[in-house]
Amino acid sequence: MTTSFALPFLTLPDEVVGFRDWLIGDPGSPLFHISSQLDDWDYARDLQLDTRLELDFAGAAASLQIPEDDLKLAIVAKTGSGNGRFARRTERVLTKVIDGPLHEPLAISLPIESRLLSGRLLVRIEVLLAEDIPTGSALSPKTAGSRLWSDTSNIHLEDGGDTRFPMEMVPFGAAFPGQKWETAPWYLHWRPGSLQADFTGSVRLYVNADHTALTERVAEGDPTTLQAILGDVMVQMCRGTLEDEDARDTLIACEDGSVGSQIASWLEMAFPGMRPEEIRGLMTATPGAFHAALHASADMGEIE
Amino acid sequence: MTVAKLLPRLSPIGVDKCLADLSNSSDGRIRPGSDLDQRLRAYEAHVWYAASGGSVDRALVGEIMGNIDAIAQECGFPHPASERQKSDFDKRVAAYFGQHPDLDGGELLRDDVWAFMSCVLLQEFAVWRYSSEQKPRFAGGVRNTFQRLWMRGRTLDQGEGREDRWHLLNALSEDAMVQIFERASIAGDARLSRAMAAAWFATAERIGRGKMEVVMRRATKLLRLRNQVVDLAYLSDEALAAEVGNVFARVAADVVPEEVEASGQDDQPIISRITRAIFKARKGGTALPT
Repeated sequence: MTTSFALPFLTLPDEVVGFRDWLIGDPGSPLFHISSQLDDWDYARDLQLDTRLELDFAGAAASLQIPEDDLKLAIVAKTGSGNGRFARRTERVLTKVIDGPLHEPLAISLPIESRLLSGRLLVRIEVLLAEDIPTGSALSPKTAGSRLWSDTSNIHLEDGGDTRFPMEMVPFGAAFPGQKWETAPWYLHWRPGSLQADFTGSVRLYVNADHTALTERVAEGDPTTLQAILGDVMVQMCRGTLEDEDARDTLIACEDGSVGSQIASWLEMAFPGMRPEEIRGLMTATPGAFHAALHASADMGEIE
Repeated sequence: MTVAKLLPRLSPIGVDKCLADLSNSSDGRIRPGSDLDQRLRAYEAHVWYAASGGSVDRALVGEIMGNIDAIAQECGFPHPASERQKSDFDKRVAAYFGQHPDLDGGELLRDDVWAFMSCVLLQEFAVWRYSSEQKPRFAGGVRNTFQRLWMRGRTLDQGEGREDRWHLLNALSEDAMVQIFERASIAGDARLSRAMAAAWFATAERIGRGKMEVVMRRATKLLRLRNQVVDLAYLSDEALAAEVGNVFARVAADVVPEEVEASGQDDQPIISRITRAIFKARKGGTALPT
């Protein structure tokens, strides 16, 4: 335990508590050692935190100079989230009172609902004095809740920021009842002409959750499925822009992160070195080649 | 599994644009009564959403806009507001945010979501409540016009169905709110925050609200120190209330000496008992401790 101040009573050394670190991952899957960043996180990805304590109860009593029979310790775990020096919201998620030697390591498993997280996950495990204790030496802790040992982990939740394609899976039957695209496999929501708009704020791909086989392939990251969908998105957006003379001229001036800059980068990827006017000529003369070139550039390879 | 509702976020550049628009002229301001599409279009280069993990919910955004509009109208908007009207607005908006079942997720912990609310969705109400010149009221953070009210509402809610559900929200002074909710080490712990709010109210009832600023400041410092040594959040509700109440009583006794007598503490040092007896005799009572 590291603190920036001295506690006014005896505390527990690390070796008595017997904590190593947390394991984190997806519930039901193999967990991995916690680090300062968790990649590929979003609100839909619930997590699990596991750890074990090999608490030496007799050692704890000796360290605190409290008779073993009088000692009661509380293992408390808290989780918090929200950016800043302190978490914006913390919650006690585990309290376990230990009043005697453990015959086997204490296993702790915490389910984490990602819907309630933002930016970071803070997890703090502490050993506290469980009850007021009148016995012990002058330096022994006396008051319930006295902090005897703690470990805090801070995990930055990497949510992709603006580097992830904005998409969500929704059942079109419920989301778009009566619309012409109600049974379509996907629907790209965007408004041509808004090239300066933020890409993640104005473009959104809806995948039809009523198409079970499709949504499974998307969730698994099937490369062919993703290429077909992204290729279609690129065709729609590039075509809509190239057909608009004003928009063609605006493309160059669009800032990073805007719809226009994304379209410009797709065009450069599919038609390197060609000016928008030339690409438009190709689109008009050989639409099949234009479409196929964009679909080819949407190849993302195998997803790990 | 409950699907997260995704709310619009405003980039820092968007906040700067808002402040520039507000300071330069009235042309850049969002016209009161503008619909959601008009507001989004005005800031389309700076508004974004989480790319994945939830569902964009325009209906929720529209509902928030409509409800805050209705509360503001009832509190005097668009006419200049009195301090009482501003206070009523704050309490009612905080209660609205506090009880809303869809406003408890991680999205609401994000500063850029609240920047969107103040700068785009509810701009005219932020200007009316404060002015157009206070950046912290528009940027996300603990001083954001609406974020601070959301924090108060979510934390000080005594629970659905209770008659005194919003008692603490309605009772605390602005200074007391600031002492709790602008101290991140306290505000992040809802139980501790509520216990401090309850102790503030009980102490104010005894010594009067006028003396509470200094009491609250000193008690907050002591409790923050105490919390470093003893995990106050570990204590039962009763023990926590007693611990926090004792700190307030001690501080109040220092600030208002007669509070020692009013608090009825019987464990005072003997010198204190003698002094009290003398004071009592001067006021016409008996000189002997009773």
